[in-house]
Amino acid sequence: MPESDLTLLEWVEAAQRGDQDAFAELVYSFTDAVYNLCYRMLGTGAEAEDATQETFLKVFNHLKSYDRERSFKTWLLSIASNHCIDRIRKRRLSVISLDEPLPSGSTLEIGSDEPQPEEMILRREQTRMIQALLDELAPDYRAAVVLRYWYDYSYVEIAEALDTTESAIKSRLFRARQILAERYDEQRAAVPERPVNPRLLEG
Amino acid sequence: MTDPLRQRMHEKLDGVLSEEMTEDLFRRLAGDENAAREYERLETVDSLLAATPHMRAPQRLAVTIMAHLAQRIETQARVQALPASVRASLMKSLSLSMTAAMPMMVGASWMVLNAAGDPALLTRATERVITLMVLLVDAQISLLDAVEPYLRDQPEMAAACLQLLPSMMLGLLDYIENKQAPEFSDGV
Repeated sequence: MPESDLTLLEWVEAAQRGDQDAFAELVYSFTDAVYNLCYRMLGTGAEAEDATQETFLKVFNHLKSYDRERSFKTWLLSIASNHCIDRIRKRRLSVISLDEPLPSGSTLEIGSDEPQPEEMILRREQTRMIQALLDELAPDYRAAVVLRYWYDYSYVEIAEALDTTESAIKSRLFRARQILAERYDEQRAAVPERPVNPRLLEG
Repeated sequence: MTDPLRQRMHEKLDGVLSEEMTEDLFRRLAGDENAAREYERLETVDSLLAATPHMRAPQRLAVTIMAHLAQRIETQARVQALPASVRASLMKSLSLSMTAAMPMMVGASWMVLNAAGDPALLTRATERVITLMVLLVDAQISLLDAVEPYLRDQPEMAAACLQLLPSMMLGLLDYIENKQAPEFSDGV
C-alpha cells in the first residue's frame, strides 16, 4: 500500500478515536476535492462553501461508520454528492439562461496548447458555459458527470459513490453527454455549420 | 443510427473500448456522415468537460470548517452534560408549550379564513397574526437573553422559561387587543 494511503488510514483511525487534529488533517487534505465537486454540482461559490462545510460535519458525525475496506475519498465524495443532490432537489432552481449570447466576437474553437490572453478569456468563457450546461442536468446525471470528468472515476467507482449499479451509471453518463451536446449545439446555432472533420471520414 | 453504435461512441469517449472495437467504430463512422457528425458533437463536449479546471476552495474554508466543528462539539458536550431529569423536564415543557399554542394557531387560521371574503378584513386579520408572531419571537428572545447568565449553573431555568410561553402569548394577545381596539372599532 502506498505510504500516502497508510498515512491517510492512520489519520482516519485516529479521527475515529476522537483525535480532532487528525480530523483537521483530513479536512485540509480534502477540502479542495469536496469544494470542487460541490461547486460543479451547485454552481455558485457560496453554496459550494456551505455544502463543503455540511459535508465535513456529516463526515465527522458518521466517521465511526466508515468502512476501512472502502476508499476514504470515495466515501467522502459520496457524502458530498448525496448532500448536493438533496440540496438541488429541495431548492428552487434558478436556471442560467442558455439564451444569453456569448460575448461578441467570441468563437467556440479550442486553440493551441500555448494559451494567449485572448485564449485565456475564451477558456474562462467556456468554463462559464460548461457550468451553465451542467446546471441544466438532473442532479443524478450531474453527479455522474462530475465524478467522471473531475475525479476520473470508473463506472464502478461512480456506481459505488452514488449507491447504484454500473449499468445505471453508463446510462446516465451517455444520456448526460447527449443532453449536453444538444444544449451546446443550441448555443452554437448562430455559428455557420462546419464540415465534418475529414479524419473521421477516412477509411 | 443504432443504439449499439451510439453506445460504442460513448464507450470510446470513456476510454473503455478495445482497439478492435475502436477500429470497427471508425470504419462505421467513415461510411455514415450522420453518425460521424454525432460523434464529433459528443467528442467536442467531452473535450470541453475534460478541459474545465478544478475549482480551488477559498483559503480560509478549511479553517472555517474546523471552527464550526469545534463550536458544534462544544454545544453537543454542553447538551450531553445536562442531567437526565432536566432533559426530561425540558421535553415536557416544550410539549406543553406546543399544546398551548395549538388553539391560538387554530384561532388565527379561523380568523384569516373567515376574513377571506373581505379584502380589508383579511388584511387586518393577517396583520394581527403577523404582529402576534413577531411580538412572540421578540419576547422569547428577550426572555432567553435575560436568563442566559443563569443557565450554566441552573439549567432547569430553561424549562421554567418554556413554561412561561403560554402566559406570554396570552399577555401579548391582551396587549394587541388593548393597543389596537380604538382603531379596529372605528374601522368596522
